[in-house]
Amino acid sequence: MLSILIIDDHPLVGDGIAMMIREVEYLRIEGMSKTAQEALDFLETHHPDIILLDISLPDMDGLELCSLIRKKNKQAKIIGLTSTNEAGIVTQFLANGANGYLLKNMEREELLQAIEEVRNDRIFLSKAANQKILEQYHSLREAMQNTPVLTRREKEILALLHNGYSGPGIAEKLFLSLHTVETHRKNLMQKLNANTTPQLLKVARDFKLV
Amino acid sequence: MSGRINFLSLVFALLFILPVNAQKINEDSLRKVIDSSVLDTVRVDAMLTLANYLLRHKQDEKAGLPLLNEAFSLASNAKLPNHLARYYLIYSNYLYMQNDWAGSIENLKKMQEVAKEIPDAAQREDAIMKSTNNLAGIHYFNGDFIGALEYHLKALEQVEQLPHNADSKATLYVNIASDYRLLNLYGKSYEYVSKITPMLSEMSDVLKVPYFYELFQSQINTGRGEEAFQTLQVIKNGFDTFDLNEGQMQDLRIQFHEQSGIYEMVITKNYQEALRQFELWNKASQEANADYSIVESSFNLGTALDSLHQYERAIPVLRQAYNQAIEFELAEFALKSAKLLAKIYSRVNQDSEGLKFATRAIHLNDSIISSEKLKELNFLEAKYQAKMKEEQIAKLNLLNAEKELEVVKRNRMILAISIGGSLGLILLGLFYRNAKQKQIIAEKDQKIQEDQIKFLERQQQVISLQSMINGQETERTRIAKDLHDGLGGLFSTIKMHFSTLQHEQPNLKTEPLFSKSYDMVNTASEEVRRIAHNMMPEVLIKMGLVQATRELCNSISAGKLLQVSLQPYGMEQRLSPSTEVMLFRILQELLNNIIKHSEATEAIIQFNREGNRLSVTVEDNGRGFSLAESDTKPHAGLSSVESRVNYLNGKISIDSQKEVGTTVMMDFLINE
Repeated sequence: MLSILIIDDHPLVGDGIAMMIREVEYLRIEGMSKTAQEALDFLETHHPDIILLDISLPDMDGLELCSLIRKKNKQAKIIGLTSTNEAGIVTQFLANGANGYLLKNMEREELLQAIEEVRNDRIFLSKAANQKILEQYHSLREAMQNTPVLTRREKEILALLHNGYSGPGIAEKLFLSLHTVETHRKNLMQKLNANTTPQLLKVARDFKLV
Repeated sequence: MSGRINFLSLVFALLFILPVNAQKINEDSLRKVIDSSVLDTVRVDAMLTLANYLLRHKQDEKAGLPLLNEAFSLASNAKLPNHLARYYLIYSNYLYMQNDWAGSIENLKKMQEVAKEIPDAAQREDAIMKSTNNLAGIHYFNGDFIGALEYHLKALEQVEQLPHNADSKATLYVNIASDYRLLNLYGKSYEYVSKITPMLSEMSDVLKVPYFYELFQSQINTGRGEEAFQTLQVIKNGFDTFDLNEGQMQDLRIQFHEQSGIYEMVITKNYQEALRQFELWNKASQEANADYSIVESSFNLGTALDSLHQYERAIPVLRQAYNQAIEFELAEFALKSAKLLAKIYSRVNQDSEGLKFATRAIHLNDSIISSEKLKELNFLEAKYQAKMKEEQIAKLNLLNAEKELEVVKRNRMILAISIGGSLGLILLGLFYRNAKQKQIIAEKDQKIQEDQIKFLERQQQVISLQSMINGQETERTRIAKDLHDGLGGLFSTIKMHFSTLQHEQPNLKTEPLFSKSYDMVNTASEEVRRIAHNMMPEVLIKMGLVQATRELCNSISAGKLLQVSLQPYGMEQRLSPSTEVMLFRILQELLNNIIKHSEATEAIIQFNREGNRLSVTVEDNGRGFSLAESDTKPHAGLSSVESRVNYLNGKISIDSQKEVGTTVMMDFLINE
């Protein structure tokens, strides 16, 4: 028998979940809390196996509550349960000690699957959240490439600097204001970790950017 | 008593700004000057003085107005700003006397404009101050004491920049004290009138009349009985020592008896003595034919008799006050007299008479309120008209300036070509170029002006945007939360129910209507999430700009048409929430534009933050546009981006090359 605590300030959601599992013999709703404080009080005296946790609570951020619960209770499996599907939120939930992530408009089967996975010490992410995490992973991998990606304007300016043009010269050639050129140059130096223009050109040559 | 408008100070305010000693002017000698003088300044001077004399002291419009107009055209032709300012002042005062508030305000505003051109600094400031003071006077007379106070304080500021002039300062202090008194701020009134005391020896005696009036009032109103008594003694001594003409001396006498009576009524409660003073006040008022004072003193006689319980004497006095008030259309005193009469009649058990006056009092009260409202309305109308005029004038000035510029340009060309013709083709070329350069310079000048206007508009825009955007974002956050928690939760729960139903009644799976409903609920719930997300992404609030932007890029890239990559540098620390939201909106808008218009396949968003410098670059490889083209076809998206960049006090530079792409770069100073 697995006991469940639902933490959500929306009473309907709790009822909906209760209804979904009413015919599942090994699941039992042990409690429902509408606020973080209620949940923390409840957890002083109860030890649910599964905690379904919403992100937006009236008195505390759900993410924060997740790490608070995890600090005190290493046993319970926490599943984030929200209506927003954003990679940053999903990963933060996991980082704060959650075991899974579900979207509120889940199917009954998805909920049962999630519970099954987390009780067996596996991480469960809803399909849509999985997709977001994957996108996130791709973009981060791209961003972590060694060679910085330059914008078109940066490439042009770098090439002109390489050919001995000065700031005003570049501004005139590219029909840009000097201020704009200078900002591009400062950005370039930050990206290539250079403090001076000669240094910038050296790094650029090392990376074969010019 | 405290509610009374200080006519003395108001009249004085007007006198003060009129040519000196207008009453003592010799008409004939002025006419001689006008006929014989060859100097414009002297002639205009004499014409203005005479016109003012005719209008103000002889009420002779037929002679005064044409003379005034003649002075105006002479002054305009000879470009004499000082005289023009005086013209506007006199004309404004004339309109003021005709109760034409809009006209009077309009002319005072014109006076302020023309005064700016007066070369002598002291004269210039003086004229500006006088016009401001008189603007205040108009508000004052119309019962808008707050408006009057604002203008008076402004005029005071102007006077303080001028070489010390006791009379100017004292006038403004008196007027300000009077404004405060009528706003029932007696402490303030006392404070301002007290500022005059050290300057007393430098002041002209004429000014002392209203000064002592306000001084006494403020002393009585702040319970300074001792001081008020001393003020009365000074006024009394003034009969022998002040240098005043007969009319002014009469005013002083009226004032003295009025205030002595009030002093006895309020401070000593010696009603017998009060009665005596009010009788003297009444007598002096009748000698001066001062209607307002006659009625007011009669009424006060009634109150003194009432306090002495001499009802049989009070009744005829008050009935007379009532009749006079009706005759002179002083509804305020008619009301007061009627009320007091009603009270006294009921006291002497003449109830039918009492009822009569009580009924009259009620009617009077209604009519006073409605006539006050009417007055207020008329004044509002007048202010509105003056404002409209100003706007029309501004428009006309702009048109004229544009026309002049055209003429100048054309003349230059004609000049260049005609000289060029005589000097040969080479020179022609040279001069043409010269003219062209001048034209360029002129255009540049115009450009600078345009830029200034744009700058002002920008400022205006920023201010209104700030409040609008702040409200907008708060509202969006609220709606997004409501959608998520309310509607979103509801749809999710419906779906949970369907899901359970489907599980418990497996045959429903074959029911098309059920499947369809299930799908629709699913779609609806997705839709709510999408809308709430666009409105205010949770991740933006909780995780910050970079993560929110990354997810925005990811979800666009997931659509496969456009790949957006994110390059954040130095963005480890979060910015202030409002800056983050604003920058996020800018990026949303720019990406929207790229998707809609650019046909780009790739885009980069880049953040560079070093210290308090933040630059945001958005670049695409789309078809680009020329900026000239966008002038004729304004990009709605870009203008809202620009407003938001302005809101963050940033700079935006958009450079676009056809068939190559567009780079938008924005930089900001972050102070946090």
